[in-house]
Amino acid sequence: MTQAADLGRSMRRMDAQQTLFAPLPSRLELLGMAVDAAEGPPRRVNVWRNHAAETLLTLARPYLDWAGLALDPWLSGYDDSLSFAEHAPAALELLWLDAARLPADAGWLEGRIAALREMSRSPILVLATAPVAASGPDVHVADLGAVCSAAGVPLLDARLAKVTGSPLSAAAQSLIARELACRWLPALLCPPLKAVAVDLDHTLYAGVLGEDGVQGVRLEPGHELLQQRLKALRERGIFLALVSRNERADVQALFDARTDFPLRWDDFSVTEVSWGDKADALQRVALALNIDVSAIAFLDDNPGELAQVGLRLPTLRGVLAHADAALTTRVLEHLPALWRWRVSAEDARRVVDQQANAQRAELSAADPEAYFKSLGVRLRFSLNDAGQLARMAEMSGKTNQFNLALARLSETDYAARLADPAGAVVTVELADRFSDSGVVGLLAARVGDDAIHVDELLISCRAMGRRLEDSIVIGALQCLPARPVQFRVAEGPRNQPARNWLGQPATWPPERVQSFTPPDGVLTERNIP
Amino acid sequence: MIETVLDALRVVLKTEVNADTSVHNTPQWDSLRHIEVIFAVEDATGVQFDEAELGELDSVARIVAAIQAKHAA
Repeated sequence: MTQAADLGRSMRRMDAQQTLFAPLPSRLELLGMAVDAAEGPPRRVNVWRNHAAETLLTLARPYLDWAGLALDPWLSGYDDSLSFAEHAPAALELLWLDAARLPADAGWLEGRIAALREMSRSPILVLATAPVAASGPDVHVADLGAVCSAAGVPLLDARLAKVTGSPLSAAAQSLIARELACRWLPALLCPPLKAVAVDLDHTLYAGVLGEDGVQGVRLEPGHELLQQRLKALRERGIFLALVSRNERADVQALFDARTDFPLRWDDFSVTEVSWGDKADALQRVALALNIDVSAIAFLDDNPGELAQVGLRLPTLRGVLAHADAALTTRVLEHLPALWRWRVSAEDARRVVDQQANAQRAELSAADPEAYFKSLGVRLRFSLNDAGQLARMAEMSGKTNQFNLALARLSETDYAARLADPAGAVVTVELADRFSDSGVVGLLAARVGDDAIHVDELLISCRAMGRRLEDSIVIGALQCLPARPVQFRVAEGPRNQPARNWLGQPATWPPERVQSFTPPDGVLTERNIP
Repeated sequence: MIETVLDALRVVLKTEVNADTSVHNTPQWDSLRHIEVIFAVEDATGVQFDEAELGELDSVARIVAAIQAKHAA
């Protein structure tokens, strides 16, 4: 694609925000919009339904295109029995249910979901017109009623069922289409966003710091809301970065003086305040946070600047900040792959942990050996802990650098492994005097008569560079029977750190595991049933 | 008001429409699109049709008449 075409595409995406993220999106405007189609091969989604889904999918289309999510929905016939006839592999199984048509037996749907799980290991998403009981690994139930009541629109419209084949109101369909395309599906199908970088002037407040001064810039209600939402993201483990063309001293003075701002200077994990190029600054943000630029969203009020950044960093997610900051807030809240189905304890710890890493690096520069001993590192190894299933799948999905086999096992895969007598999953929790990092290591293996076959080996980037790799991996292997160890290795674009750690060969004799002792200063604990 | 209805139909049916357009002479106006037509007209005019009317609004003329009846009421 030419540069002009890329710029045009980027501008159309920004233009679309106003219509897409209106408080109540107009159906007519949604249908009339032209958003460039999402690129890439479409992924199949199986839609198992007992009422009409066509109008919902039509409304979801502009949102999916805006989200960059190319999907190929396959619709079953209307089937109240949920027989899952003609099942074919898909990236996701979507149950689109008129709850009033389902059997009254509360366990019936659970049974049908268990049957679907026998056919498919993909995530299962349940959207029903009333609360239903549905559970299991990688089964997610959205609350349609809550979406509508938050917006003050009725979920159902009794006039419609006979004519349309669905009891959902017109307004509900638009809102549900937006939630589906911008939150529920990307959270299951896309790599997660890990950081939000924000501009300052006309983004976090109205006005220009360099012209209006510290007290002259205005925190309007929409900006206050936006700042509160950003702060809440930080508490859920999303890094915040400040990327602004300003004098650094002025910006620090602003955050010192404006105690009415919900955001504080220390809330930003990285601050890039200079007169330099913003694409360069965003690359430095990625480097400082040890994440890929594709995991960053950048909020700026200047469409030209965003388009230029987009040309240099095409995988970064540019978002236009509007003069109406309440609109910007709605866009932020619907950024694909920012919203999560669950927030784990590890998510909440991430931002604090990263800041502790900076402290560790500073202190270790003086006397590395003495410093390491003084850290008080504690490693806790747990074997087959079903309570950590969600974290296991999260690590498989998110870990890119120390990921030896790139197996990307799902929650369902891990559940099956825990149920298998030959399956073993060791999770490793890390704490030291600076922070409690939670689960940062994972080893999934099959214990054969001849060898331990390691199918997945992961260390979170937060635990890397702390000279703990051997202690984590070998400590995990010591929880399993003494056998030769065979590592599965896959070559990916970013997993060189794991491959370098292993080196050659990929098979170890049992003595290598049994003779290992962790370095001085590392305490270990085992939780083996 | 007929122009508002026609504009809404153009967006949904993605074809040229006029005062004579109906289910019978417009292949794009199939049963699946019918509900989109109703939603679009309701959205554009602020009118809400009764359940009994929904299946009968199969032409521009009938839609316009139904809206006029509501305004007269």
